[in-house]
Amino acid sequence: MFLYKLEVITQSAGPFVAVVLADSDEKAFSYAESQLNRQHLIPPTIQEISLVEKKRVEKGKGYVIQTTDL
Amino acid sequence: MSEQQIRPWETDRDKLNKLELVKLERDGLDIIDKIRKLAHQGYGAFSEEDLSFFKWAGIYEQRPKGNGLFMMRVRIPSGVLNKEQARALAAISRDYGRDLVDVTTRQAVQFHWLPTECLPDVFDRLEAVGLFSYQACGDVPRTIVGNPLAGIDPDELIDTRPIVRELEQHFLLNREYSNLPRKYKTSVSSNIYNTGHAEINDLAFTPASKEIEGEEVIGFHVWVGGGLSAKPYLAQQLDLFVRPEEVVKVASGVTTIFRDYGYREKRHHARLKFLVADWGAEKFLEKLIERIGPMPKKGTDRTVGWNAGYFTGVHKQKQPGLNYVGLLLPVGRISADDLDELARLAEQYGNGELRTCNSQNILIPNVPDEKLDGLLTEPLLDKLTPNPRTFIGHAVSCTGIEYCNLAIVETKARMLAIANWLDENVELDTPIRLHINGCPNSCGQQQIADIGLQGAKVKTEQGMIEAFDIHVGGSLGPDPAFNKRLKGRIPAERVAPVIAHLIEYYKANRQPDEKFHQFVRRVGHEVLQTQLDQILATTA
Repeated sequence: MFLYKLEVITQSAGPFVAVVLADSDEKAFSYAESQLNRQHLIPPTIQEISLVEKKRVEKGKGYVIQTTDL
Repeated sequence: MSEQQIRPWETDRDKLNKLELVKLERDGLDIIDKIRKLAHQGYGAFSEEDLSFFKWAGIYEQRPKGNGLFMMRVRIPSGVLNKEQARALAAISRDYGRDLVDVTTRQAVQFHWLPTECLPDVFDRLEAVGLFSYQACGDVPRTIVGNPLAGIDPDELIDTRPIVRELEQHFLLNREYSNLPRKYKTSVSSNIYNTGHAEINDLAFTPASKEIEGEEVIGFHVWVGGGLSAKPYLAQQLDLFVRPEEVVKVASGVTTIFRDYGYREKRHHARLKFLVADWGAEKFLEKLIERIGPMPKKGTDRTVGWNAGYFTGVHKQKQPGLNYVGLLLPVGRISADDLDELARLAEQYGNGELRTCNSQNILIPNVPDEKLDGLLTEPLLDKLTPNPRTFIGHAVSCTGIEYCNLAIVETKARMLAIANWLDENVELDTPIRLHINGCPNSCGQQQIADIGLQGAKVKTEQGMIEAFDIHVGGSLGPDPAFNKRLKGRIPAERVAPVIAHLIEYYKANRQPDEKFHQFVRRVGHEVLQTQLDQILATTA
């Protein structure tokens, strides 16, 4: 099992970073899209979704994602 | 480690991460005996905790984890290898490692696919020829990188082989250093072109001289706290001059500072670079002097450039009548048979030595003038050519998804394809160093490349495809800097033409003798970004 980091570019809702737990690259894409859709009443059209990093699941593993507008 | 001696970090166990607590209970090097005793029982004989200590023996579980197959790394200090050692490596690879040997960016070699049961035999075979996988991984001093031309180099101030040997003996299996906060990488080179990649090591010695009592003394300057990985950091130079006979004392002092004051609360914040970044070079030097006594201040820096560890071709040694022949190992990979044949060539034409390079290549030293022609007509040199084309001759690759648990994409075959395409399609009179990495970590050292590629997977209508981010403008000293990412992820199939376009732009706009990384820094990153944007907008 890995903790995956994916980058998502959408046509209307801006860029996202998705972090999901999955046991394969394929499922990581699927879970990331699912999480993205759950965030929106109308799911945004995905322009590009990329898997960029994976880490073994261990206590304390995670990602820090820089944002420009908090 | 002595049971009576309490180290500073042991007094506040709340500030230790989970592995640190385990490291207080068992010395990582104990795993070597355990592997010797239990490996015949197979993978199941080892607990999860045992497996986490396999690194101290130079062994990692291979992808996918849990199937009882291992990657093993073997230390090759400064890259110096004799024919018996080369043959032993080839035989291990043939018998247990599916015929593959990889030369790494730290002059080490790696086997893949080793079954659990063979590990004690591999230890024995290595030890019999004076090689060790021990401490090639783990929280310990790793293999010492340096000048592959040590002792034969017209561009070195002194022969660093005795120093590297002494350091290797000082560090290897020494339980004073078997529990460091994290991995610890040392570089020793007296070559004036920075063959040891000083700025990206935890501890590095570079050539220097100083007038002391009216006499010019040759020695070293010292750099601490460099490293790549997810947070790359260039080492800082200490105001210190080191005579050759004092290298072990200084290395020992720096290492014990790291051991005793290095951070152990979070593993990702434990490398020496974090301590150096917090303390600064001045405070670090104060602490070092407290430990090792007064030292002279810096002398004259004798490094004049950076050759990136490339030595392909035929070159004169400092010994008249002798030559070294640098050979290309495409992306560092060689078969057992070819390594055996290299050992034969080294014996027949040289003095039986080979040298591995941190550019993932290999060279045959000590070839007399009269034997050169014979060596150059050997069939193996058609494959491992001393005269590679520009791009394949300067291509470096990490292991990639083929063996690595954390890689996102395949890299070695991809780099071969990209470099060969560029060699077929782009005319270039000056090298451009290409490095590829399958994840954001840095086994392929992508941050120091002229053009660094970092892999990702992208979902498309045709399914998942491999893609790469392009980073431009990296180099080590003088004027060292890591490369920077250009926005826009490139499908793998388009990477080579996109790079070709960037190179054509460089060729059209460079100044005389301007290298690619110098060009990027002169014109600015945004100019290259604009070029990439245009390429992506105008080509399908």
